[in-house]
Amino acid sequence: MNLLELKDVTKQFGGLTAVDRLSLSMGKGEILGVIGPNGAGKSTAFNCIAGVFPPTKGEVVFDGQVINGQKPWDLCKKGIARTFQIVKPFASKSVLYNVTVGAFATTSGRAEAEAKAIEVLKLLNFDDKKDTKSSDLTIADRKRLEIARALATEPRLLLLDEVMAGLRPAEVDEMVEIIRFLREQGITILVIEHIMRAIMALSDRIVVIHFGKKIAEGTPEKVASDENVIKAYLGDEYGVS
Amino acid sequence: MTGKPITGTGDNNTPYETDDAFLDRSALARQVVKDTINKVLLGAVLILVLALPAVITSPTWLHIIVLIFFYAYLTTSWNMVGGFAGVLPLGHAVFLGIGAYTSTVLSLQYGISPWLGMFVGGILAVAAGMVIGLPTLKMRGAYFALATIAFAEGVRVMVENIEYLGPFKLNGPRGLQIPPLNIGWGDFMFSSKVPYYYIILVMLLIILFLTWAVSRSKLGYYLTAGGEEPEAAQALGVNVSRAKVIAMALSCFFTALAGTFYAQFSLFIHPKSTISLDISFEIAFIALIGGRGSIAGPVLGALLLRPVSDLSRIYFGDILPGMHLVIYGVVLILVMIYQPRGLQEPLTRIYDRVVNRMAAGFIKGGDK
Ligand SMILES: Nc1ncnc2c1ncn2[C@@H]1O[C@H](COP(=O)(O)OP(=O)(O)OP(=O)(O)O)[C@@H](O)[C@H]1O
Ligand SMILES: [Mg+2]
Repeated sequence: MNLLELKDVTKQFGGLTAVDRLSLSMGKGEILGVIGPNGAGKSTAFNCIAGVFPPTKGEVVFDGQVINGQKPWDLCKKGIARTFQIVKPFASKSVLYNVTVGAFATTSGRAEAEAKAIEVLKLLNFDDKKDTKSSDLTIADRKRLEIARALATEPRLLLLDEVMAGLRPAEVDEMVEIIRFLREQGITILVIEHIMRAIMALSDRIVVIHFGKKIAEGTPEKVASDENVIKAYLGDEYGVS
Repeated sequence: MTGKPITGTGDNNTPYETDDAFLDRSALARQVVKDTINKVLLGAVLILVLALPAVITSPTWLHIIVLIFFYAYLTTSWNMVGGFAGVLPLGHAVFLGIGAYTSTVLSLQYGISPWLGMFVGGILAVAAGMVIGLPTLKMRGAYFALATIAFAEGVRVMVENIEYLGPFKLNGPRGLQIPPLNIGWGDFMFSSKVPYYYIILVMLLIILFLTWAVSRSKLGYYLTAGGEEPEAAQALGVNVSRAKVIAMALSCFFTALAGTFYAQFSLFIHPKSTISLDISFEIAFIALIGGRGSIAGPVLGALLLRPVSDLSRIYFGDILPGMHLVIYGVVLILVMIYQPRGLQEPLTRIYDRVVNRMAAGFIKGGDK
């Protein structure tokens, strides 16, 4: 059975259709890449899945259950975790504090939550910074903190929104390694990314979105050579000539 | 989750295990010494405040100190929602008033002990807090702040203009006088200031302990997270509005208990002395200047600002009533410019430095 399924999901903001009859499905343990030009509707699709707002039309099915209109905190407890494109650390607090907030999703005791948070930080080779105030982190570490917090909630489905944007090449490689490692742990991962090299290396399949619509889907090789995709990225003239 | 940790491209596993272990041990030793120093200092302060009435016998001075503790208590209660939840309640005097009026009416009309009435008042204050909080805590800060002011002012005007609320006699603007007939613990009424001193001291210690416990609990983490980045908190499983509503309920309850204390302490309550915006603002000023969202902030704020308020009342009371709020305003502006997290931050830093130096001294002395 698929872990996640979108059926004709549409999201409108007033007159603007940000996501237009988008359908996709993800098997357990899969890494699905989502690409598309700026403003294509990728983050909006994420927000529909994570419960930030309900889709205007269509269905989001998680683990066999329609989850339209459910709240983010409830979805988190069901096993959906996400990171934010624009990182949102609890800035006045330490890395450990930030991750402990996530760990409280599965336990109520502070000692237990903290132990869990440290476990996650170790897993990401990040525990040396546990006492650093999160506003003092580099951009790469802030992205890593986003992932650590999300992981601490013990997700089955992880939504990563441009966790590699702004990173140096070596840091991108490290992030690719982290995401692969998380999949080995059995987590299903939906990745939005602009860095082609990374998303090609990482994804089992890729979905391409343009003006809210899915214009291509398939293996990285297939998508890379798709005419529509090349047009979407380089403009119409390129495809015609 | 299981599995080996990832070592990224930059491998920072040091081979110097022994050095690390050594550093860990000395850091641990220092921490133990620091904890001990903290406990000893805390104990010393506790003994000092417990013994204070034996040293200070002047009722005037005791009165001033009782009011300092009273405001420290009020502000600490306020801090539960105004500090940790990141909202700005500006009408908390209404809960003080509910507490004061409830226990006073129950004791005057029905002979119910104020100790019992205190908790009835607390529950009523929670109910009132929910009336304002449930619809407004979901909204952005300013709406909540305005709603709390409007509610508190509405209640004050109402109480000033009615003699009776159903069967309960409120006496309009004249307020309620508590005749000092039954002196004693059962009736929460004393001729000396000393019992009041100990009662408010114990109340303050309880609320401080509770704040400390909350700040280390799941609720405390959720409040802080929801106050700083609500969207991120929600994505991590935090029902932000629910956490805020719980904090509001706690805050209202404990604020109302102070109302009963105030009524029994002054034996006379009227709308202006309990439900006034003056008090609501003074609480918020003390919190912001002392440092909201910290445990020490409200106490430091009350210690530093209450004397200002008393002095201004003595010197300007007749010509310029309300002068203390003007002074607070100026102080607040200065504090917000130079110490936006309140005076507790630099003071905590100084305290930490002193304790660190003491700890270093002890460890060196012990090695010899
Ligand atoms: N809350 C909102 N209200 C109104 N319009 C919105 C909202 N969120 C997104 N949009 C609009 O929806 C469209 C899709 O935005 P979205 O953020 O989903 O794009 P994206 O694919 O994530 O782009 P990027 O690669 O730049 O992150 C844009 O035109 C955007 O302006
Ligand atoms: Mg986006």
